[in-house]
Amino acid sequence: MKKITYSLLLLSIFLVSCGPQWNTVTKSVSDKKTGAVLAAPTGWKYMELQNKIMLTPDSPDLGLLVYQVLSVSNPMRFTKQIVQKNMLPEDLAALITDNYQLNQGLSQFKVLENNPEVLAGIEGFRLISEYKSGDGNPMKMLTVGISLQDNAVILEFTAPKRVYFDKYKPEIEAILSKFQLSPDLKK
Amino acid sequence: MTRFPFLYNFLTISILCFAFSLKAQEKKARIFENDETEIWKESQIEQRKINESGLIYQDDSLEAYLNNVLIKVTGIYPEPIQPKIKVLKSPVLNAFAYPNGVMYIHSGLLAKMENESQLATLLGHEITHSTNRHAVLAFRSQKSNSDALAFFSILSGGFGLIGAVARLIGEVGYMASVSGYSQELEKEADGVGFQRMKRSGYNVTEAPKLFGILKRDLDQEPPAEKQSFFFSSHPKLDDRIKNYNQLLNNLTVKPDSAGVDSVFIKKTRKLLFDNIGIDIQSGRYNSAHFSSIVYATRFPSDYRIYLLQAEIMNKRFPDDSNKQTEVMELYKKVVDLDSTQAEAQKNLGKWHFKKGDYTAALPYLEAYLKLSPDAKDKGYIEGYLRKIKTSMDSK
Repeated sequence: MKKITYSLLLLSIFLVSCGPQWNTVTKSVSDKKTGAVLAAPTGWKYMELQNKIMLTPDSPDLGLLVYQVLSVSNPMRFTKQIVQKNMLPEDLAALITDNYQLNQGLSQFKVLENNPEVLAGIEGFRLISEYKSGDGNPMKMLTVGISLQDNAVILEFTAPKRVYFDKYKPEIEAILSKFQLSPDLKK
Repeated sequence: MTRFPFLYNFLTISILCFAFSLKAQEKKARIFENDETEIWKESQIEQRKINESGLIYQDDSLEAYLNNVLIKVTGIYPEPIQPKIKVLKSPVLNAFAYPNGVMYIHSGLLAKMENESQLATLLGHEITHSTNRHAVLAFRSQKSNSDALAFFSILSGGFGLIGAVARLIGEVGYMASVSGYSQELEKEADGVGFQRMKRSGYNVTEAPKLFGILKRDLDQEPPAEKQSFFFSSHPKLDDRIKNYNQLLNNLTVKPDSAGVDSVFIKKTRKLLFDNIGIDIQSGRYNSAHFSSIVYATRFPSDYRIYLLQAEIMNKRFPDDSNKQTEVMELYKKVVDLDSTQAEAQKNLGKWHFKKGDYTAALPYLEAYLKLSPDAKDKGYIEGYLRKIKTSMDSK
């Protein structure tokens, strides 16, 4: 019995060590696939996942920036609608909003602002929304997105509405203003 | 009789007392045992979660109508059952009743019905689960649904509105809405429900038709969503059709088919329209398409349906040039019907803008901003207009 417990423990440690890990930002974070560059402040932590990079200034619960690339023709997780080629910014914003509204984890989801935005020189959208997390905490979210030929690029910053959203917003705005995309992706 | 006022009063009071005592006996019929009390408590907790979830579809007129039909179908019911219907904003074909008589109908199911008799079929079946204590009988024969429930929640995790409902229901709701009861209890619900609708004067030939419609519609849904809920399962729908046909065959006098039910059509109009929007939001374009045809047939002068039909087609066939032309023609149809329809003007403008035909886009986008100067998406439209004008100036 002891052997089995010991083996299971070792297996769990092995699996955990094999999974994606948080790394510390030293210069900037770039996505090898798309060539996107996220100029996050030194000391922030980041984690690379498939089609996604997550960044946090301190802890993901207190502020999380997610960069993700959505491929055209793939249904979104919650709405099952698909991202289309070269969507107009407001249509992409509507698609992202539908996906949030159908996400069970975002209760009482509400869009506060929906405006045009330019990201990496491309016209896109900027959404500010709020919702309650699964444990009832009021959260605020800033989402910026652009539509490209075969992809849509979405940057989503989420933090507790009280204190943390406003605390980290200037740094997020700085990341957005310096955000770069590979010239290939822009085509 | 006026010569014997005492006797007259005595008789009247006696008859009233007798009637009340009968009613009281019916109302007292239910005596709870411990497990049933627990099931009722659990039901109330689950209902509170559903009611506070934001998933309740708000339409007071529809809710009042549905509850009137429910009372008509249910007739006398034992205390403390309180039949009550709420509609859920959910595109799936489902409905379920709790032991206390509270029933939830998904908007998707209600939107597929054609008349009040079909509604009465569903209500008669569902309320029988409550009045005949099916939940407690099932729980006694089947110790735990927890594992199956956990499995169902995981399966439904990513299904948007479907998952949202799945997350809210607990063990009682799971049995009522997903697994269903045993074949015998379901058959009893079919039989008692059938008698209830017959007694209430509904057209019983509509009973198997309802489940035939649901079966047809189920085939239009994405494969992942099939089998999730009781009324979204082929074998269970087949059972219903078989049982109701058998009940119909047993009748000595067979009624004619129901005609057009204008009251039902009027009362469910808003829901039918809104559910098309829910279908689109959930990416269920086939269901949205067929419902839009039904709506357009019932209310051909409501221009909004053509906008929805264009939206469905635009999302279903983004790269099909013929279909895209049809999309543009639908927008144009609305603008031609009424040039003050701002949404149609905007969509027509956006359609041309996307195609790069800025000259064609310009008047429609300008008309939209003129008609809706405070539109929420004003910033976007102004951006398109700037781009158009810059392009024109550079030529």
